Amino acid sequence: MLALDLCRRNLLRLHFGQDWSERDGWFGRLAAGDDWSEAAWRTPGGILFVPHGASAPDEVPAALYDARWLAGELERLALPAACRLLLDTPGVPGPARSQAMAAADRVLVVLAPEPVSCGLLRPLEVELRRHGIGPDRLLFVLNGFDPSRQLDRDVELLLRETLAERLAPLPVCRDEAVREALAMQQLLPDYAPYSQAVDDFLQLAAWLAVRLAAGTEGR
Amino acid sequence: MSARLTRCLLACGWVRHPDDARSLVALLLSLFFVPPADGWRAWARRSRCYFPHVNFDRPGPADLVRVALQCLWLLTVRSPQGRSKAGSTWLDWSRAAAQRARDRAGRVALTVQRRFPGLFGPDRLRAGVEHAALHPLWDHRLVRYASYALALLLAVVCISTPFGVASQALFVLLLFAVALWVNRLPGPVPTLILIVFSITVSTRYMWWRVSATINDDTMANLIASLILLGAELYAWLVLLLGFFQASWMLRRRVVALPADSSRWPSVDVFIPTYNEPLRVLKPTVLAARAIDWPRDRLGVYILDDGGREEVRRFAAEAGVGYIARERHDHAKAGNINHALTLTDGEYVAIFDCDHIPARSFLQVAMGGFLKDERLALVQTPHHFFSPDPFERNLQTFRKVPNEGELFYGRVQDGNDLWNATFFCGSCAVLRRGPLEEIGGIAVETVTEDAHTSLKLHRRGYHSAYLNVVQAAGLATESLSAHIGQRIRWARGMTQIFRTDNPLFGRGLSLAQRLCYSNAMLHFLYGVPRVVFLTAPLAFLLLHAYTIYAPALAILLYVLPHMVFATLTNSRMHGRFRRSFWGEIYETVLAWYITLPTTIALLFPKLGKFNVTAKGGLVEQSYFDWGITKPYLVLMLLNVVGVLAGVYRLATGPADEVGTVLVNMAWTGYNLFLLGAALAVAKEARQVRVAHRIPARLPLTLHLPDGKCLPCHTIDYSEGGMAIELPQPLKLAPDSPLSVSMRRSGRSFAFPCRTVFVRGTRLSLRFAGLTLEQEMDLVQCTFARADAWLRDEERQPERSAVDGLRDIFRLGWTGYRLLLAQGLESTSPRRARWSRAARRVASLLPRQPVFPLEGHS
Repeated sequence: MLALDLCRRNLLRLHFGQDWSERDGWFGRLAAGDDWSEAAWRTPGGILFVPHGASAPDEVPAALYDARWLAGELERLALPAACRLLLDTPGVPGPARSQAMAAADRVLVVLAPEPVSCGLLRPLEVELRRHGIGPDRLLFVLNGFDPSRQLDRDVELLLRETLAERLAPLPVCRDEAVREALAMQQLLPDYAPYSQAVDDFLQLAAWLAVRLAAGTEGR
Repeated sequence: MSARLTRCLLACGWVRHPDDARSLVALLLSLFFVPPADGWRAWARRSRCYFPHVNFDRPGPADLVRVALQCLWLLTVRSPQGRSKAGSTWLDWSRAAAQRARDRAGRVALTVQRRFPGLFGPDRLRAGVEHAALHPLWDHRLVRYASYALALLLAVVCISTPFGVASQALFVLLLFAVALWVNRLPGPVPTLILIVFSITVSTRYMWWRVSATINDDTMANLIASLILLGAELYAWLVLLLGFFQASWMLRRRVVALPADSSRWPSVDVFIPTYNEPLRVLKPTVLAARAIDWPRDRLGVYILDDGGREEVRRFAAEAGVGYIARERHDHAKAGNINHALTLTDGEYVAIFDCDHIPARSFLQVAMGGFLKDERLALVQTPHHFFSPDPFERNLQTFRKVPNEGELFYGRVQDGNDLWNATFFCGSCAVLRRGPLEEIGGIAVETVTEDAHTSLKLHRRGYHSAYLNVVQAAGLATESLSAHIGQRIRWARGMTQIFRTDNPLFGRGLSLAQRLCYSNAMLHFLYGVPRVVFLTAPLAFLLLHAYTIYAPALAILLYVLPHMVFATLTNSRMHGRFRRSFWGEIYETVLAWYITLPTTIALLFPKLGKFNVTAKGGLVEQSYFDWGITKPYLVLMLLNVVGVLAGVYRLATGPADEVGTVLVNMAWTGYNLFLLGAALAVAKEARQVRVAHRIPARLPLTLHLPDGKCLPCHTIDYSEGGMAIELPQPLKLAPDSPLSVSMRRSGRSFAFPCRTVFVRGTRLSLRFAGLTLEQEMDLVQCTFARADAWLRDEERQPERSAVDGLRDIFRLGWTGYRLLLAQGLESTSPRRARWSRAARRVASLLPRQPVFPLEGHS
């Protein structure tokens, strides 16, 4: 398992318990002309994790202008076939996001249980089609779901009707343990092994594994 | 090494055991006695087991007497622990001998089975038997009739040939050996063979009774023996009809509906109610509204014969129809018929107001209607999630099959083979056309349901029984209510038997006539049962020979009759009723249904409908003296009978001893049955308003601090839940929480409050649910399609002897309860006496009580 943070905001690292002041990441190394894969970390659980690293607001390494740079680099890493690759993309279109689209087999869209999420679907599908990713390669999951709120339930109902099989069968619950784990700089399963969110993530992982196995050779 | 040294020194009294406190007493004791290996303290703990009635922490003056008496007792009587170790009493010896005999028999059987595998391998034998049964040769008409004739001839010979004692013994023993061998084979064909055996032996017994044992020396003797003979003939007839009715189960499968739901017909769901509280009605209505069926073709109606305003308001809130009527004639039947005139769905589903339907009910039940145009009735089982009075008072809930299970598990499935499924008033769907053709639900009798299906069958309509539990309800709350309900059934069935006898009239097949007749005759057991409970007294008290035969002959005829019937019934019904339990049910009800059925038999037009009260609580355990009165009288008579028997043994002629013993054994059995009836009448406490249903459903617990935990339910009710937490948790009582459950891709959250937390068990009650949330809750719990499936798994009984043992155990319990009740009295003078008696009794020595392994 390899997780790669492509978002400039450099936040994924906090979920992995990285120190707040840590500035290293693939972006900085790439800009400096070093081997970016040197920035990888290994968690105690055996997950390889590459943080984005600190960056100046408008800085873009030249390599990123080649749309298939990331795809090529990942091939070069020669990861074992069983290794799954998770790319955390920025929320808005940009060069890093395009890199991810070019390299990915599937796109998992994380939706908030908000009415706006329903409005997001259409533009997203258009954008992805431009990258050659059809709707069948799109998967969705609801995150931060609170069943006690009527609107959350309505949004799920609506999304389930539109997305059917493509929406993960279980949403990820809005569980305080997720935020607390981040604040405590621990991985969620270490911090709260019995929380609902851990259960939900496991279910999500199982569902993803099945969906990926059902499609073409996944990464 | 050092441990051994310590032990050695300990044994010599040199070292104080680490568990013992430093005290002068221990030191002094050590000077004079070798200290026990595990210390004085442990020794004291162990010794206390020998004085279970002495409280050593707070000794009183009376304890001196207790200890002294107990020491004397311990010196003279062997304790249970010692006994089991020594194994020298005759009881243990005989037990060991029996075990050895069993082992030896098992070894012999194994050798024989190894030698002739073709004769004993169940699978091979079953294949062989079924191959023979399905052989095309039987399809040839000539062959079939020839074999019928041959079988008939053989049966006549077997039944009517008079035998001496020795030849009868040989005959039944041989037949019994063959029966045991046949009983080893699985499958329905051996069951049929056993049925034939049982019928042969029982009919032979009846033949013998009629032809050789009628005593006509005096008028009184003749009358007594004719009464007994009549009761036995009745029992024999019901046995035969019962065999016929349940000989082969149809086990109908659910028929799938067309995938296109626009072709599904419209259905009206009727929920008739009279005076049941809204609390009971609510879940049923909410679950009915949520049945999976196209919205525009499902109408739910509350038929409120009580005309209550709160029910009308609830119906409006829940969005269901409310139908009340001006005149309240013909009770439930009239109520439904009135609603039929106001609605127009093609089908009518009927639920008693406390039967909560599963959401899949219609999808399970409706398929057959679309396939068979003549199908007019689909019935599903009645399932109860609360214990009935028998189960509650005898503490057999979910352990022993209840009274209804035989009917819904086996009898209805057997009826279905003959297209004779009865309508049971609830959990059923009827086609409107045929129902209107027969004039709606039958109103002539108090069991409108069975009469309705009888009328449908007379018109040539079909019926179906689906043995899939798709609804569940509350059982009757008290024994008196239960008896009231059975009285109604018995009276109604007798009324039908008189006014619209299924044996006559047009339209029915022979099999349907027999099935209905059996159902109705079955309820006439009152008089015969009372006859059986008193018959031996005729001899013991009045010296009337009701069966004119030597005791040995009686045994040789009657025992095989009972043993074969029990063996066959146990094989057929073992999963649905334990052997001999029918006797308990009948004994309790017999007295009460005797009069109503007799009256209904004579004047079928009399009688009113009585509603069965449900969903209540029994706040305090009490003995229902009113109900037990007739049984106390019967019991006293039987006790007198036993005493008279003892007197006859001592003073009577020597050739009468056998007869006296047989009659005393019979009386003894009756006494145990009556004791069991007494045990049922002791109403156990029932404190919960809502009955909890054990189930393991996943849910999320949302804590006040925003954290969520994945949990499972342990049980649930309308009002609350017990859930199992993944880890122990501290929660203040009454803290606000919520739980969420998922159903068909959606989440539902329910606000609730803590009742208590113990370890990982959290008990909570729902608080402030809106009506919509209540409906969601019912859907997530009671109305789940698989809510009641688990309950259907039931193992067949191990052996018919277990049932007999139950009778003895329960009978004994009944007498113990009676004794305890007799001592506990309300009048102050008797209370003083009983207190004094108890105090004296507390001094008496008793057997030591040893804790189980692992406890101190």
